[in-house]
This record gives sequence, structure tokens and C-alpha cells, in this order.
Amino acid sequence: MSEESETKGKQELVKVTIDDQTIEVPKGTTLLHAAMKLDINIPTLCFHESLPPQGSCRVCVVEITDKTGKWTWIDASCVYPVSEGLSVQTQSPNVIKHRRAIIELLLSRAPKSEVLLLLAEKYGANPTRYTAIDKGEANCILCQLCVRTCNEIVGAQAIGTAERGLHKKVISPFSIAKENCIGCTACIHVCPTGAIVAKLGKESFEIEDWGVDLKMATCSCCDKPFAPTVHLEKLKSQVNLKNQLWEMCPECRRSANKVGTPYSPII
Amino acid sequence: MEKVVEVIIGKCMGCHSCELACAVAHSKSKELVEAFNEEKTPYSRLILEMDEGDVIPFHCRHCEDAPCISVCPTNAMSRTDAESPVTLVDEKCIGCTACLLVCPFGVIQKKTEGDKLAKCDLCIERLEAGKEPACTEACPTGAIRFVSSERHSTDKRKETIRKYRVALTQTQEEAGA
Repeated sequence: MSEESETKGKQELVKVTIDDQTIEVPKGTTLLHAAMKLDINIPTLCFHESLPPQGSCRVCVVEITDKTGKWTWIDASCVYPVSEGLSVQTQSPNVIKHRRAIIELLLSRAPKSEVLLLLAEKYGANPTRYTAIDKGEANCILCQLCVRTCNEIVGAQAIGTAERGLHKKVISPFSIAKENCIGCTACIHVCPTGAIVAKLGKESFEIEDWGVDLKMATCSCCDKPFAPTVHLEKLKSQVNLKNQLWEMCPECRRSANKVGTPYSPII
Repeated sequence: MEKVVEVIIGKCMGCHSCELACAVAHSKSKELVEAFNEEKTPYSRLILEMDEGDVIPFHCRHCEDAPCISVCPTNAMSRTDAESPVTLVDEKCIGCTACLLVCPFGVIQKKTEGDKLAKCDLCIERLEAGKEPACTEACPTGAIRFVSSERHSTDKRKETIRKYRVALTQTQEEAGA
């Protein structure tokens, strides 16, 4: 603890101006985080607090002017570390113009994405400016947030990207994910455009495009499927709980603590 | 923890005031009317479970050795020290539902609104401001109380004495009759 506070004390602070508001932040902070501290809203798609920024969607672009005031350029704020005297505009006409173009390009890949259509409306982008690559229901913008979450956080390494250019897609190796995917649904949760669709059947958890088909564990009380068995097995190795609890869904665990149910209170 | 949330099951009438207060307390504006119009719909962290006329509010127990913290891969579920409430940081959460599946009390929910996980944080913001949790303040019947753990155990002991006294009088009456 003391070491941490010492290093914090030594950390160099830099001044940065965002939309005419000045803030002092530790060196190395990204422009996006500095803006967040000032409560300035910059739209993001591929950014997640738990992962290092990747800068693949480019929606968070801002206009940066250096301390001399001579140079101005556009860059993605999520990957840009602050330096002394930077002046940043997040809503200038130039930024809006660039952001609009980026949204239009993203829409050509994911024409049905609600998030993108809302952004298009906000920034006045034309959703049909570029011909859509896939006229189907595809919503993926290839930001790889799901891939990074699965590989770096969950550690399942069930998905990755395949092929190149127009045909690039997020997929499990050879569309077979039986061994790696644990069905934790983190990819679905982090996906900014809602491109990943899971089918919850009576006894199975399926993601069709990736060949995922997992067996669901059913609750011993209410007979409802509640979680993939592989996910439960993984968690069982991490924490110690009563065997009785592993067989019950969260709803029934609550009622197990109710008075008068067949199960005695588990505490 | 110095103070705990205590639920007296018999006093709850299922009016949902606690859920409403919870949602408002976790909204951006903290005002009932404004909360409804917010971009992100506020949602309740506590669960009011109803079953055949019986109703019980369920809160997070803030376990000493919390399984949800030990399984969280991103430290989104954490506590600052052993005495503080267990809190979930939405921005860090990747929605892997590990916490939901290991909670022995089943008090972590997956919400459909914004695909978020919901968990009681004992109104940590209000506690820091010197107020009590929103649900205990809102409860009209005193079914949810925020009491010191000492008071909680004293009340339990008194309850035991009361029950014992009733039982004793009954046996005495039966013996007399």
C-alpha cells in the first residue's frame, strides 16, 4: 500500500484542455479517461474498462492540437496518451465530419445495428451511403472485443478471427467450439452491436455460427435449465460451495432460504 | 460490519416501496420523476420474491469470504476492506455470470435492461453521505431495518425469551387445567 502511494506521489501530472475545460491527470492516462473525469461524453464501441484499449472502431475520434497551437490532427482518444499542453475538441465540426464518415463505413458492415443507427441519427450520418457488405442480419463490426474478452479475461480462447478483408469474420476454429467454449456469455455481454446471438433451448445452449452446442444443467428444484454444465464445472474448481447449491438455479437458492420450503435454510 | 440490513419477514406486505427506492437511489438524478426519463432505465438491486401470498425482500449478505469476489475475473466485484460492502462496478463487468452462479443466496440477477448484472451495494454512496440505505428508509412497515449488529442479536435474544415465556405459560395453564 505504502509503495503504491509513493509511486503515485512521484507520478508526473500533465495538464490537458478538453472542450475548454482544463484537468490535471497522471502521465500516461488516455484522452478518453481524462474526458470521462470531466464528464465529457465521447461515444465508444470497442472500449471496455477491463481491457487495454485497442482503437479499432475509431468512433471515439477527437481533434487534438499540440501545445504550440500550430498542429492539429484527428486521432482516436481511447489509445492516445495525454501529454503536456494538449488542447482537445470532442464536438468540433471537423470531429463530427470524421465521426460521421466512420459511422457510415461501420454501417456498411453492420447495417442493422441499432447502436450504429442511433449514432448515425445523432451525428447526421447517411446509413446507406456505402453499399452494405452483407445484406443479411450481420451486425459484427470486427472490433474484436469479444475475442479479446474470451482470450484475455475468461481465458477460454474459444474464438478468433478468420480470413481476410471483406471476408474477415469472428469465428471459432473451424466452426467447432465444443472443447473451449464454456458458455459464460461474456462475449454476448460485451458486444457493442449485439451481433452474437445465443439460442437457449430446453437442454442446450447454442451459438449457431460458431458451432457451440453446450449441455445445460437443470435445477434440481424447478427443473429449469440455468447454466451450461462446463461453466459450472469450471466454477466448482474455483470455489467451495455445498453440493446442494450447485444443483440449484439462483431463484431456487433464494427460496431455499425461505421458511417452510422442503430445503432447510442454507447459511 | 457495524450495521446490518435486517429483514423481519412477518412485517413485509409486498408494497415494492423498497424496490422503487432502490432503483431511484441508483439512478443518475436520484429523483423519482426524473429517474423515469433517464437514458438508462434505473433498476432495483434488491429482489422482492413473492410466493403464494408470502413475500420476502432479498438483499446481498455481503459475505465475509465472498465467493463472488473470488470468481470475478476482472475485479468488477470487489470491496475496499473487510468491513465494507461488496460492490459491482458495471463498467468493468464483462457479464460472464460467474458471480451469479456461485452466490449461495442467489441474490445477483441478470437484468434485461441494458444486459446488466444487478447486485445490492448497501447504498454505499448514501452510507458515505451519512444516510441509511434507501430500502430501509423507504420501508413503511419497518420490515427492512438498518440496525447495528449488536441490536440485531439483542432483539433476537429477546424474541427467544418471548417465545419461551409463551410456551411456559401454556404448559403451566395446561398443568393447572
